[in-house]
Amino acid sequence: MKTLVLLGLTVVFSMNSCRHIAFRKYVKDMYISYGRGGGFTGATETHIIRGSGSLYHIKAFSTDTVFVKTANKKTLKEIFLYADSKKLKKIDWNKPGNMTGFIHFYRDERIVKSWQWSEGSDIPVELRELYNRLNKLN
Amino acid sequence: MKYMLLFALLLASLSSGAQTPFDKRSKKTNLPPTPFINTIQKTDGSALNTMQDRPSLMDKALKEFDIRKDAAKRSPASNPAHARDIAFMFLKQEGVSIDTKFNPDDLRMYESTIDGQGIYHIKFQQVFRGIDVFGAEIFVHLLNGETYAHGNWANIPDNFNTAANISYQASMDAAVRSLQPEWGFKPFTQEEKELLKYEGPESRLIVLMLEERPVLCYDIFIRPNIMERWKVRVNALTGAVIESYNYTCHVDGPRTGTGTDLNGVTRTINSYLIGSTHYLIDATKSMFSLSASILPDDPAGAIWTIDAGTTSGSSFNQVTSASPNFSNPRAVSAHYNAGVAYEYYKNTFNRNSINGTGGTIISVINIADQNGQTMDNAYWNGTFIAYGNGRDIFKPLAGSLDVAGHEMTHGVVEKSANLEYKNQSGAINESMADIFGCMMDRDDWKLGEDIMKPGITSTGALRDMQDPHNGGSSLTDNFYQPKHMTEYYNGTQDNGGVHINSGIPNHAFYLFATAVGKERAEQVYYRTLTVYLTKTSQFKDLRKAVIQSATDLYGTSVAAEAGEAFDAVGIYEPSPGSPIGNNVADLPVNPGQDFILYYDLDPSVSSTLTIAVVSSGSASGQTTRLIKKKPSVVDNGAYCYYVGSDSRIYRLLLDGSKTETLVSDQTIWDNVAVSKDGKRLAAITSNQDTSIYVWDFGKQEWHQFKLYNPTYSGVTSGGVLFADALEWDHTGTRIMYDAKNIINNNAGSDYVYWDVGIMNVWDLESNSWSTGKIEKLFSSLPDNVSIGNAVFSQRSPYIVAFDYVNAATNQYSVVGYNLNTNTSGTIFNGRDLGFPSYSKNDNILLFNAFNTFDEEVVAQAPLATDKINRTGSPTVVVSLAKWGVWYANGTRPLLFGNKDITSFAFLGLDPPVQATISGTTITATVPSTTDLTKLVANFTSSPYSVVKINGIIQTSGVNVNDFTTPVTYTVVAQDGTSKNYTVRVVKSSVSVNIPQKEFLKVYPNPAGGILNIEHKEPVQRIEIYSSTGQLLMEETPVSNSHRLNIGQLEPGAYISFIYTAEGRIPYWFVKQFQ
Repeated sequence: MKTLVLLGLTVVFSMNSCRHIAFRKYVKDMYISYGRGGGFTGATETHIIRGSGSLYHIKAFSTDTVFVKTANKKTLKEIFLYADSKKLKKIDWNKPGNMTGFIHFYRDERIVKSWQWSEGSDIPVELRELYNRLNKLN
Repeated sequence: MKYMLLFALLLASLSSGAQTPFDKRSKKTNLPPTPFINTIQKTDGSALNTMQDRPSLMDKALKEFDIRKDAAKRSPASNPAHARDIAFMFLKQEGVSIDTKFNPDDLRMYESTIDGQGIYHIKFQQVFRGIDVFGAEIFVHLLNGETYAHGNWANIPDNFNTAANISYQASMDAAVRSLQPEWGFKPFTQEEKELLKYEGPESRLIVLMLEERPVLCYDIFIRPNIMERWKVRVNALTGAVIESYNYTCHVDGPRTGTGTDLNGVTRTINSYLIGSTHYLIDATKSMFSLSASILPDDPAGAIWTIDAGTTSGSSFNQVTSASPNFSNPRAVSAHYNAGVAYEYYKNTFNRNSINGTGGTIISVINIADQNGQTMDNAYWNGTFIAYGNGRDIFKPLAGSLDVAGHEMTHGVVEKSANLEYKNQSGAINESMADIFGCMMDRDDWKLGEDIMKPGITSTGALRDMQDPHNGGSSLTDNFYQPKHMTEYYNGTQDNGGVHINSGIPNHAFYLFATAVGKERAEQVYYRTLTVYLTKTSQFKDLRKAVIQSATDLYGTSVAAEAGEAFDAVGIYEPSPGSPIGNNVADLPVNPGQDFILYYDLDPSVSSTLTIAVVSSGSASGQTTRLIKKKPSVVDNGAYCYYVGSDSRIYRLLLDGSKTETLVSDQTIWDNVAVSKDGKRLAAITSNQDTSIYVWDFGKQEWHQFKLYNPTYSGVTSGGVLFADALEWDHTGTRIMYDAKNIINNNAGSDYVYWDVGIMNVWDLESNSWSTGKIEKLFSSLPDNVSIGNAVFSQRSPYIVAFDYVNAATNQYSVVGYNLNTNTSGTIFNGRDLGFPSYSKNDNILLFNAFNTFDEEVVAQAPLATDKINRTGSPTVVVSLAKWGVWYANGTRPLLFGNKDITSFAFLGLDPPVQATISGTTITATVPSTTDLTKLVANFTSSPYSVVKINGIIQTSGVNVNDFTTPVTYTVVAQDGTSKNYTVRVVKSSVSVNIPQKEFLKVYPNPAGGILNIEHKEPVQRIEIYSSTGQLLMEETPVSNSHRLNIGQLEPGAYISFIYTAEGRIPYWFVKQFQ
């Protein structure tokens, strides 16, 4: 009986770690850049969140990519899965304005999906949700 | 968001029911109106508490006193003193019953009167050790048979301290200090003192009950000026100002005061007084409408400054003051600068505000970014100008007049050319904003110099039109802009470099204005923006528009200066004769037989939709179903779609079988249109749901696209209610629709109009849904004009016809319009909507009309070869009928498959170089000194094709590429097929010798119909090329002097090659408008 229990537990734990490894592999080559900019100055503030959890910030008028922190794994997973979900992928939004908010979703250094919108405009709820979640990382 | 209150009146007026002729086409279900948005909260931002804010505290401190007693046995009062005694005795007897602490000895009688009825009224003031207790008064009335006492009484403890710590004078000084910032006390003249009987502030001690506690105060009466009267109460122990209020009775309206701006300059400020509060609402301009305003939260035709309170725009507060003077420097700067910008447009161009029709100009200060940090920027969001307070690079941005002018000009651009905010059109948008910002702040050519922190740039400015490099040396340097096309930024950042590449047209303006003067230059550019530019204008179109505007206003010499300015920055004239863009090709004629599908109105006939054979005139009814709108036919004439009167979608085969199929049994539809290739349906519902629904037969799914009115900022808040007529373009990717819009104008009444938009719903390259991006057929329509029922011609994708209605003159016309040349023609003037339809050859237009018997008919008119004008008289095709649709039942390609590069050159080189095209290989030999890493190619390709390098779209005369190794140009046809060309550029091993250019004379330049060419040596050959490298003319004069007839050339810039025995001499010239 004990053997069975131990075996069962082993199987359970193995399955869990497989899922964890699977997510790490899934996001390994992904990153999302997001931010806003434009206006009178053309200045753009950009953040980048990598699949590894590293969050970077590129200030306006700067080319330096500054490490900010490592994001919480649970939050990270939620964000990437949400960004890569069908309902986000179905949304096409490329309507920049004088002040533009943007999210660019990369995989293997290529843009998978890109959204841009004018500040203050109505955008799809799902897109607004993703943007809010990303900004909470800052 | 609270700022949406600005549209509260707009939204609330949805049910007003204003109608135009286009409304009669269908009845829509009204949506419930949007709830009225909360009003803006008021804050005065000062430390003073007004009486209005705190009445409840006073009320609780005093006890109410109310006693009535029978007085039948009371002896009548014989005089006021006797009455006082009676009253006093009454209070002594009865007052204790109200409050055991009541002490009548603490009463001071200050009035005893008798009225016409013989009733005495005695008024007592409560005092405490001789000091009045404010608000504690008791009145006793000796009525007939009754004594009545009422009032308020305060319980003050015996040990209450009545010794003041500060003097009378100190209290008055405190009062003056508290009002000084807002009022700036003005000394009275002797006459004013005598008139007002006022020598200065007056102060007395009182006991003030606050929160049920007595406070010893100085009660001060003070006048800041001849009009205002203030009460200020100062704590007699601490010297703190407890409260103050203005008790002058005012008339609401505009006021003028002063304020110090962010640069320390005292400015005259126009505000608006409501009650005793001044708001930063400038109602002094002629555009202001009191009747249309809801003050202070929705002024109409005002200049209005509000405060975002360091939010990102989630809440807004009024900026207020108790006086006409304002002490908030950011608000003063923003408000003053908005006024200056308004006056600039009004006085220079007679433009009434941003939108040209007196719309309110709104400035918002203290805007933060979304993380709550202070914003290092300012922007225009389609509704207001927002100013951040700076952070790392800038000081508060409201402090700069060129920022205000720049942002306001974005609004002007939105309401005129409405330049799309990306790539070159976006760079022109930014450039216009810089230009007019600079013209307002016109003592220099810099932007942002007043607000940039020291040490950020060597020039002290954000941008410099005189030298866009701005102290940098390349695109990698911050705040550097290119000033020539060879420095053009090709990347995708900044929406394709709108803030970067704007340096090039900025510099062109600087050169032009330096040559002709700022006054002329700004007039030319304003005309350019408001008359000639379109939303997708490129740099070459800007050049053309500026030259035309200069010619219109000042003639050819000023136009030539404009041309030289653009030449100097590398923007050359586009190829003449070809319109903006290269989309001039026509589709082939449908090879099938001609038919007309129409809706029969003959009451003796049961059928509705009927097919008539054009050649024979025979007609056959296809269905008896009543339908809501004009049917939509696929290009090969196999079937049509329509919405039945039951609001369901049906399909009818047009093969004569009369097979009608129910497509959608949802009873929600109002109109449907099938794409010409039959792959998609566009449909709208009977509700005002501001959407177009598209069904794709391949994906088997619906997609909803929302309607909006595109603005400079990309999306505007709305104004669009619903769509009605639908028409697909030939590619099956775009839908042309008409839509009802509603606007609340400054006169207060709703303004309803219909206009036409084109929505991008499908992407051929990805074979999937597109963004739903909308372009309007016209960015603005004249007052009282509506357009609708737009259709494409059958062969020319750039030709449309539509109904035009002027409600003021009751004019109904069917109009043809060329999208490329922006020209129109009136085809028919009728008395109702026409619902036009082109024949398969585009040589006839069908439309609804009325015959002499006042019966509806389907009529036709022959068209000129331009397809937008009529050549002969209209005739009746079918009587008692409407909604004629001309179609043919043949099959033809609907997408262009041409994918050729037809010319290739490097015209920016000296001398310019023509390339040779051989199959898919293009070769060019350039001078040995050429930098191959930065070459700009000029080329033409097949109509409707797109040219790319590594997936990046190329524009002739724009993109800079590295030609040190062969470059592959990919031409993608409209049908998605592509062809690759390899471009090889080699340097000549021989340095180019430009033979004896100094002996060449070419005149006049600009030229009219004749170009004179003279040279010391005999001219052997003359070649004339377009600016994209197309050979247009060649002659072989073989003489020293030759008159070249160029009358057939279109106005524009050309390059000529003049050959002598010494070699070839290039020469640019301009053919002017005649």
